[in-house]
Amino acid sequence: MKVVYPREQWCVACNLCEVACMTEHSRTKDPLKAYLTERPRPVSRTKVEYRPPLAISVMCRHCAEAECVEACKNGTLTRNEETGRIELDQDRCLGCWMCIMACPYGAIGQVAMHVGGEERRVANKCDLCPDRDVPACVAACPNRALVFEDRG
Amino acid sequence: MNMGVKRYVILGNSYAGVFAIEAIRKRDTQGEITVISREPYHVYARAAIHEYMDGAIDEARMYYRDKDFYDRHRVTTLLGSTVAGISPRESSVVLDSGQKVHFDRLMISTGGVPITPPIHGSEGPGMFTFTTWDDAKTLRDWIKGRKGARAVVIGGGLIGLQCAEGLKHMGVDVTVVELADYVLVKALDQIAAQRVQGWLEENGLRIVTGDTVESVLRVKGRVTGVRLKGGGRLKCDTVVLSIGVRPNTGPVEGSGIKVNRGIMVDNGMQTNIQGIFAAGDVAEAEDFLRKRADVIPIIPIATMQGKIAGSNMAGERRTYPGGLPQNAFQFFGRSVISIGNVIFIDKNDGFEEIVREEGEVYRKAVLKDGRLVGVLSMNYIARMGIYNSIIRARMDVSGIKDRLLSDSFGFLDLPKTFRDEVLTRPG
Repeated sequence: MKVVYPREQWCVACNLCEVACMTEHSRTKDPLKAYLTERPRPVSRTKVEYRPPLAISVMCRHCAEAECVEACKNGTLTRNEETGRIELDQDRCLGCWMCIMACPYGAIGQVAMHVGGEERRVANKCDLCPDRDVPACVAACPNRALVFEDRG
Repeated sequence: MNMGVKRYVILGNSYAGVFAIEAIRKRDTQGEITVISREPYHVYARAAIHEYMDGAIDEARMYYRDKDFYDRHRVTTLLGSTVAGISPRESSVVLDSGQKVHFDRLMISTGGVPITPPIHGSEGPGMFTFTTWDDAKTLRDWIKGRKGARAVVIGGGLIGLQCAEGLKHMGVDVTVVELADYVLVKALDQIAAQRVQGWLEENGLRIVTGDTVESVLRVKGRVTGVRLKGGGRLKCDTVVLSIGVRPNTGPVEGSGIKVNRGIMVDNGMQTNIQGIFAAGDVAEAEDFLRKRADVIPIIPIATMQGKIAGSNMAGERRTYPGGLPQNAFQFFGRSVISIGNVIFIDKNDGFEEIVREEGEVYRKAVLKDGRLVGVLSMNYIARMGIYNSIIRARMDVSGIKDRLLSDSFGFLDLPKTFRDEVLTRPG
């Protein structure tokens, strides 16, 4: 299946992938409005590491045998048998962080979510942008440091 | 028997069972799968019963898989059925009802049962254990039926403390009594444990350490308190016994299946009897770090063992890589994650500790002969799983000790060869 791979030799830590990801997963789909006005504020699901001169953007690999799915307490994380994608149902998430403990890529983060009147912290990770042909981070990368490929 | 159609029987209906079913169905769409469980429920999140009890989560979020999970995987369920015995010679499981269920491949994943030592006065109402959904419902209903409830929780392990927090959220006055000098002795070091104890006390729980309950006091059958070994007394109307869980090996008694602490399995999750496998909290399998067999009752190990047992039952030859102890838990909104060995440290035996303490954050890494073998983190848990892969890779981290526990630690701190291998291949 196609997932996003980083190419670290091309990454310049411009962080546009993070901006694109946050925007794609916002309500307004506008980076400034999303960042400044949306509460809870949307959070990028890819993480740019930067240690000059090195940089790399890391996100969910949609593993064939996903350790997050194996660690999840209540089935919030599951594999979609048709697409192969690892899906995270934030409405079900207990915020137990077993997935953060398990993910060997460090690719699962946290995001706030409003449920009723209360704020709840839930797990957050790459969903490969189901509404797009090419994930937003890949489309936004000016240097082809992120590629959307099937490597078998 | 329909030749060629394999009959798979799974005892127990929890994390290991689900992963075994999914693994079997990947390779064998024709075989008959039967799940037998003494609990009457669709597969549920056993590890979340404390949050169900206090109302933090509803019934819908308690189910581990969709309602149609068994139908989609064509599984026959015998729920609410207790196993009376297993006959390897006849390849059958006998239920309490007398019904016999024949198998070609059997997986025993019957989990754990609470340890209940004889305590004077423990017979009768007001005494509870806390490992099943029914336990949580029974305790919740008991608490709802009384005003100003006071509970004593015996045992300051993870289950006891989670139950205690749940009770506190329900307005109960709670005291935890722990025999050791500090709580969570099996999971944390003393510094971390004392911090957790502080969080609990700040939120109104009382913790008594270095003492245990000698007897439960009753007047006309009703619990009125407990007497401690040290001589003290605590007033209460509710007692939860949570000193620990042991492998539920009862169903294999007399079958010839070898049991040490748990059911002994080889690196294919098979017991000493061909065709009979075990997985999850009942199984005693290789510990990745210590390289000897042990029972490690945690979800990621149960699911991995279930997956490997299921694959091998369906004819594959997969090898268990060994279990790495790890856990993630929260109390009153603060988080702890521990991975690997963070406790058994002998500085004369090549162990080294790196500690970072900054306000609420406490982080510790344990190295053995330069290799990372454990990491513990409180109140800062971002990307903790990366340490999981480093421990699994038995990587020498002696050259990056200064970076190892920094907030921005990541792949760029690791050797390029490791990064390329991990980040450029399919997950």
